[in-house]
Amino acid sequence: MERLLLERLEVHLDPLSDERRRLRALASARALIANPDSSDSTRRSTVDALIRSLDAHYGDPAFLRPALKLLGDAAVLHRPLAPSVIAAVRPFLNGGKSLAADAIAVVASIAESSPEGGGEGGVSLLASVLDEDLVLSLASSPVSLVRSRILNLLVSSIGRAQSSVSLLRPHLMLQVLLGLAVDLYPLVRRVALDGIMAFCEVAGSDLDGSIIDCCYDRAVELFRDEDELVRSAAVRVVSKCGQMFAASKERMGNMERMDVIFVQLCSMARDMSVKVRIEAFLALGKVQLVSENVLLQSLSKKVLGVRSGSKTITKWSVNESKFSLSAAGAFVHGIEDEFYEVRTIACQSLGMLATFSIQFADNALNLLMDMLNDDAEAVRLQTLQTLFHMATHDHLRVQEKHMDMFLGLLADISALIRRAARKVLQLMMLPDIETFKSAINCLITNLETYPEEEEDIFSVLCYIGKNHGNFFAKLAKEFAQEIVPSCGELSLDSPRVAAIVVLFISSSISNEHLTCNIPVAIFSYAVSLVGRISCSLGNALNRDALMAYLCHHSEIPFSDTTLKSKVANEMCHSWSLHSVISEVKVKENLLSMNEIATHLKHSQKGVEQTDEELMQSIQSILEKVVETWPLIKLHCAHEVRRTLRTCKEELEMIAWNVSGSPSALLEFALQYVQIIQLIAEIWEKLQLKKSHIVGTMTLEFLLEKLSMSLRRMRYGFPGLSREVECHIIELTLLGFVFRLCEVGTCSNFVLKKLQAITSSAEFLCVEGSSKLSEFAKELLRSCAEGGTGETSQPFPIYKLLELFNLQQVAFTGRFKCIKAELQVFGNDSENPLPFVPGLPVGITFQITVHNISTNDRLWLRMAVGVSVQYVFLDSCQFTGRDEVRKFAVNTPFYATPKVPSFLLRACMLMECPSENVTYQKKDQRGPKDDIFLVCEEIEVYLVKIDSR
Amino acid sequence: MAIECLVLGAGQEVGKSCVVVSIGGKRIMFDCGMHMGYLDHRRYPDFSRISETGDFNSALTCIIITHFHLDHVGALPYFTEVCGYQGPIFMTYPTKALAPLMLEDYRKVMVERRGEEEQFSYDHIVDCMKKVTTLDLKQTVQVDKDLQIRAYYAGHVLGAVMIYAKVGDTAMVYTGDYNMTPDRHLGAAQIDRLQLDLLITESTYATTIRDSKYAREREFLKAVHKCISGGGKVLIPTFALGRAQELCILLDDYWERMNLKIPIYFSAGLTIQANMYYKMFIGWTSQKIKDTYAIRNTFDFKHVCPFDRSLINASGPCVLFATPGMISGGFSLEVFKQWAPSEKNLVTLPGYCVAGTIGHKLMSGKPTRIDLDKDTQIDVRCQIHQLSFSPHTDAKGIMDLVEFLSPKHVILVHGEKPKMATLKGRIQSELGIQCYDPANNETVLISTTQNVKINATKMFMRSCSHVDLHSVTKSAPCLSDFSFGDSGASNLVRNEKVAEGILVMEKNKTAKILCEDEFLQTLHVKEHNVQFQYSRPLEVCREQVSCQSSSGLLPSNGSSPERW
Repeated sequence: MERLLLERLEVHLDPLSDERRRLRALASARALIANPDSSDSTRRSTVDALIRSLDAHYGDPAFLRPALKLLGDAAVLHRPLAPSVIAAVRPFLNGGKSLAADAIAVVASIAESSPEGGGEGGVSLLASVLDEDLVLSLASSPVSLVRSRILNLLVSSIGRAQSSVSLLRPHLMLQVLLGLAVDLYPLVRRVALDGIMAFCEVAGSDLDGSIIDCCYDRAVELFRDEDELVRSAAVRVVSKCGQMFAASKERMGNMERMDVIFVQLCSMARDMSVKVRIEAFLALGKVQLVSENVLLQSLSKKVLGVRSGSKTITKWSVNESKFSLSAAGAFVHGIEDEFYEVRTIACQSLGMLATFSIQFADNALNLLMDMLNDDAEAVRLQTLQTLFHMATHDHLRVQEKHMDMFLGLLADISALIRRAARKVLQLMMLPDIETFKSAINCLITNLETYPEEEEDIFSVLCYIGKNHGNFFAKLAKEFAQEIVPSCGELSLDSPRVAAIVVLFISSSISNEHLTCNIPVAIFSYAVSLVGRISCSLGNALNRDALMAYLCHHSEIPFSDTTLKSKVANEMCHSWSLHSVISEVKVKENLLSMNEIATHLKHSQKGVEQTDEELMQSIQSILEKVVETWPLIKLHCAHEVRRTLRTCKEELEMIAWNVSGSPSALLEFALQYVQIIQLIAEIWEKLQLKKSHIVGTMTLEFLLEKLSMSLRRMRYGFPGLSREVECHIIELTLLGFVFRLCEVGTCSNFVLKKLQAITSSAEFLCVEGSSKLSEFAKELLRSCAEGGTGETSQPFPIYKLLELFNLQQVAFTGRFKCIKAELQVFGNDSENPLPFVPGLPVGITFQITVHNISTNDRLWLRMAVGVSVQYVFLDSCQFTGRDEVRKFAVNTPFYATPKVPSFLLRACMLMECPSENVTYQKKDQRGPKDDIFLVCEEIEVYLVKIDSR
Repeated sequence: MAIECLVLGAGQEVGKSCVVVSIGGKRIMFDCGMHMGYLDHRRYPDFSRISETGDFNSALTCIIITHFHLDHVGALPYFTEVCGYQGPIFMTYPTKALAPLMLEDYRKVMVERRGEEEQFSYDHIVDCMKKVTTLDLKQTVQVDKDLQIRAYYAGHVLGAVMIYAKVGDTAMVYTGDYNMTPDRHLGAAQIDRLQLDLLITESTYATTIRDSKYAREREFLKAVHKCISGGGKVLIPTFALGRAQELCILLDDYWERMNLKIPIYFSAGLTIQANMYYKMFIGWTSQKIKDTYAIRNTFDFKHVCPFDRSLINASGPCVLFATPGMISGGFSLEVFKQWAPSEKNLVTLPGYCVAGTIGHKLMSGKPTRIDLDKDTQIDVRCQIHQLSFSPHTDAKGIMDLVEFLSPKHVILVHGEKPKMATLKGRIQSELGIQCYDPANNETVLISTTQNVKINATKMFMRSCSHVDLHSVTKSAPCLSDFSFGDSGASNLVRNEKVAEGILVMEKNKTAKILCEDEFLQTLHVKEHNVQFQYSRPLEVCREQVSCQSSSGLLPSNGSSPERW
C-alpha cells in the first residue's frame, strides 16, 4: 500500500500533471508522513520526492507554499529529516520574495522543536542557516510578511541566546529593531518595540547610556502612533528605559530626565485607548527619582505654580507651562476612569509613588479616600491595599475628614473589604480622640453585625488600644462606666462589653501606667475572655502568660505557683517586645496583603502537619468501611448501614474545613463509601430476590447508580495507584456480575463489555506486581467460555459472588480529583429567569473546573422532564492553565415546554476516555461513550415572561 | 476651499445651539435648539439668515442633532413643520426616542400651564420625527456624494454624540455637549485621532477646573446617609432624564454595599418611562453597566420602588425622587410642602435653578420661610444640600480634547463670553491653535489648505515602506560589545527615510509618482545605453598592439538621457 501510494505520488508531483492532482498528491504525502505506521524509508523517500518537486515547480507559489509547509511539518515530526529539509529550504530565503516568508516559517518551526527545546540549540540551528547578511537582507525585504516573520524570529531569539550563539551581533540587532520600529505596518512596529524591550532586558545594566537614549527616543516618537498596540508597546519601552536611567551610574544627572519621562507617561495616561492607559499607569508606578513638584502636579488638575526658578531649562524641558499642563491631574483622571482596570492600576501606582514623598502621599490620600466609594469591588480592595502599603512605609497620615468614608467601609457587605479595612485600621495612627472614639464604636458595631469576625476585630482592637494609649487613658473612665453595670451582673456575651474589655486589657499591657486606673473588676472579667483574646492575638502573646497577667492584676489566686506575680510582671514588658516583633513581621508581610484574600493561610508547616493527620484519619475511616464486608456477606443490613452512615458523616465533618491536597482523597473516600453502600444495598436486594421478585425497577436504578459511581472512581481521579485501580476494576466487575444476576441471562453487549474490562484488569496485573484475585480469575474463565459459544451457558453467578472478597487497599498516592462546579448567578425560586414558551432560552452558566486536562470531553446536560439536551464544552473555552479554571457559558436551551414555569436540571458530565465498547446511539446527540457526573445537579428556575 | 461658519445660536451664550457650516458647497446645520430664557422671537435661532427667500430645502444639505436636550433640539419641529424644511435630519437612536418626550413635555408646560399660544402642536412633533434618519456610533453615513458624517460617543446624556463631517479633504468636528470624565451611568467622550481643519466645541465650563467626582459623590452620600440614619426623609427633586438615573445608581449601589434597607422611591410618570429607555439603550451607557447587564440590568434598581401618595406622611425614613427638578411646581412641590418643616429631613438641589423657582430661593441664602402665594407659606427647617454633578466637561477636558485632536482652527460656542475669551487665549497661547468665539449671527470664515492628490504606483509604495538596513550597516563601525561610542549611537538613530520617485504629469490625468525602474515601461520606450568613448591618438610602436583605453568608459548603468 505504502509503495503504491509512493509511486502515485511521484507521478502526480510531476509538473505536467494538473493542479488539482498536484495538490492531492501533497495531501497524500502528508498522510504518508504523518501516519505513525509508515516506515522510515517511506518517509524519507516521500520527503525526497517533495524536495525534488520543489525545483521542478520553481516559480509556482500556489504549489510551493503548501509544499514548503509540508516539509516543515515533516521535519518537525521526524527529526532525522530536518537537515535535508533545511538544505532544501535554504535557497528560498535568498531574494526576499514572498516565498521567503514561508521558508522562514519552516526554519522557525524546526528550530522551535529542536530537541534541546527552544533554547540555545534552536538558536544555534538558526544561526547555522541564517548568516548576518541574509538576516539583514530579509529584514529589509519589501514584502511585509517576510519582515514580520524574520523579526519575530529575531525577537524570540533575543530572550533565548544566553551567551555565545546569537543571530546578530548586538549592535546590528539593535539597528534592525530600531529600523523596523518605524515600519509602515503596525504589526511590525509593535513586534520591533517588543524586541527592543527584550533587548534592554537581556542587556540589563551593561547597556551604554547612549544606546538607551536611542531606544527611548524611538519609543517616544511612537507615542503618537495610530495603532493602540504600538502605543502601549512604546509606553512599555519608555518605562523600561526610565528604569534603566534610574539604575545607571550617573543617576543624579538623570533627575531632570526622569521628570520628563514622568510627564510624557502622564500625557499617555489621557490616551483614548484603554490598553494604552493601563500600560501608562503601570509605567507611572515604576518611575523613580521624580521631583516632588512634578509628582504633585500629577495629582492636581489645576496647573500648580511655576516650578522652582533656579532650574535651568535644559534641552529636554520644553515650554514650562505646557510641561505642567500635560502632567496635570493624570491621577485624577486615572481614578475616575471608566474602566475599573485602569482605576485599579492607577491606585496601585499611587501607592508605589507615595513612598517617595510625604507631601505626595498626603495629597494622594485625599484621592484614595474618595476611591473607597468606588462601585467596583476590585478597586475598593486595591485602594485598601494601597493604604496598607502606605501605612507600612509610615506615609499614611489620615485626617479627621477621611475617617467617615473609611469607617463606612467596615460596614461593607463584602467580607474581603471589611477584613482589608480592618487591616489598615490596625496600622493607622488616628489623628484625634474623636476619631479614636468613632473608630472604636464602628468596630463594636462591626462586631455586633458580624460576630463571626470576632477574632479579627479583637486583634484590631488590641492594636488600636496599644497604639493609642494616651487617647484611651482619657476615655478610660467613660468606658469603664459603660461596662461596669450599675447593678447586677455584667454580661460578657454582649459584644460591646467584650470589645471594651479587650481594649482595656490591650492598652494596660502596653502602657503600664494605665494599669492603676483600671478597675480590678475588669481584669477578672477579662479572665473569662482569655481564650478569645489570645486567639486573636495569634503569636504575639501566649495564652498562659496572658492568664497569669490577668490573674495577677485581678488578684485571683493563680493555680500555677511558678507563674506568680513576678513572672506576670515581666509579661507586660515582654508583650510590648512581642508586639514589636510581630509588628515588624506585619511590615515584612506588607506585600503579601493578598493573604487577606486567601483566608486560610496559616504557617506552611502547620498546614502540612494537619494534612498528614487528615490523611491518616481518612485512611482509617476507609479501613472501617472495608471491614464491613463480612457483615454485608452475612446480611446484617442494619449494622452495615449504620456503620457506613457514621463513616460518611465523619468524612463530611472533615470535609467542612479542608482545602488543598487532602480534598482529593476526601472526595475519593466519600465516593468509595457511597459505592460500598450501594453494593450492600444491592446485595441485600439480590438475596431477597432469590425467594420472591421485588421491584426490579429500583434494583435497575441502584445498578445504574453503582456503575456511574464506579466510572467516576475510575476516571475522575487521575493519578491513582495501580493497586487502587485494580481494586476499582474488581468492583466494576462485581457490578456486572450483579447485573447478570438480576437479568439472569447474559446479553451479548454486557458480555463484550465484561470482556473488555477483565482484559484491562488482566493487563494491569501483568504490568504491575499485584495478582488477580480468585474472583477475577474465575470470571475471566467463565467469560472465555461464554464468549466462545453462541449459546452461552449460564454464568456461575452465585459461585462468583461467593468468591468475591473486599480487600484492604492502601489508598495512597498523589492523585487528583476531577470535579466541577456549576452555577447560575442570581437565579433561585424567587428570581427565576424569563422564557418564552416554544422559543429557546439562553442561560449563562458559571463553570469552575478542577484538574481538567485538554483531552477530557466535558458535556453539559440540561433536562426538563424527559427532554434532555447535551451541550459539548470545548476545552478551548477554559481560560487559564491552572488546576482551577473558571469560565462562563451562555447556552440556549431549545425545548422550552408550554407551561407557566418549569425547573431545569443541569449537570456536567465527563465522557469516559477509553471504554470502547458502546452502544451506537446514532440518532442521539450527546456523549458517545459512557459518562459520569463531575458535579452535583443544579436546578435552574424559569418562568414564562409575562407571568412574572 | 474655505469653511464658512454661521453661528445662529449659543454664540457667547448658553441656549438655542445652532451652527450652520458651509464646506465645499455643502451646508450643514448642527443642532436646532431653543432658548429657554426668552419667550419672544429670540427663543428660536434667526432662520432667515440661512435663506432670504425661505427656501430652506435648497439652502441646507442636512440637519444633525447631537442630543435630546431642548437647547439642542427644541426648535426642530418649528423649523421643519412651520418653516417648512423637508430635507434629511440625523440623530442617534436614543435621541430619536427621547426627544419627542422632551418636546411634548415642554409643549404641555407652555400651553397648559402658562396658557401660551403654541408654536407647534403634538402632530408637528410626530411628523417631524418621521423625517429623522437614525445614526449609530462610529457609523459613517454618506449623506450625498461628497458629504460624509460620523458620530462619536460624547457622554453628557444618553445618546449624545460628537459629529465628524467631511467634504472632500476638508474635515471638521462639532462636539455638541460632551463630558470627558465618565459618570456612574455614562462613559467618557471618545474620539479617534482625526485630521481636522475645524473643531467647534462647547465651552460651558471654560475656566472651571473640577475636582474628582468622588468628592462630590462622597458629600452627597454622607448627607443622605446622615439624614436617614437620623430617621429623616430625603427629597431629591430631579429632572426625569439623566441626573435622576445617575443619582439613583449611586444610591442603589451604596445601599447594596452598606446593606441598608430604607426604601428609595421614584415618583411615577415620566421617570419610569425614561428608565425603560435607559434599560433599552444599554449600548450607550458606561462600561460597567455594559459589563454587568447580562447578569443584572443596572437600571432594574434593587432598592427602588414606585411611590404612592399615601406614603408622603408615612413614618420612618425614606428617599424620594420627584420631578420637576427646580421645585417649580408639580409633585416635588407638593412633597416639599409636607417635608420642609421638619429639621430631620433633607432636600437636595440641582446645580442650577432658574430664578423665581423655589429651588432658586433655597439656593440663595437659607430662608426659614417661603411665601408660595398669598395664602400659603412654608416653614423651611429642613437641611439643604446642593448637588454639583454636571454632565459637561471642564476646562481641562476641553483643553485635552483640543490637544488630542489638534485641529487647525477652533471655534468656541455654548459658554459665557468672558470665560470663553480666557479659554480662547489659552488655546492660542498654549496650544498654538487659531481660535474664535463668535457671537450670535456672526460668520467666521476659515481658509483651508488645498491638497493636490497624486497617484502612486505599488512599487513606489513598497520602496518607501521599508528601510534599507544594509546601507546603515555597511557604514557602521563593527563593534562587538555594547560600547558603541558616540558615532555608533548616532548612526543608529539616523533614519531619514528618503523615497526617490519620478513625478509624471500627463494631460487630463492625475499626476502619478513612480519608481525609477518602472519609468521606461510607463513611457513605452526602450532603454538605451549610451556609451562614451575617448579616443586619442597613440604613438604606437611597431611591436605593440593598439589598445583601447578601457578606463575611459563612463559608468552607464541604465541612466537614461530622459532623466530630468
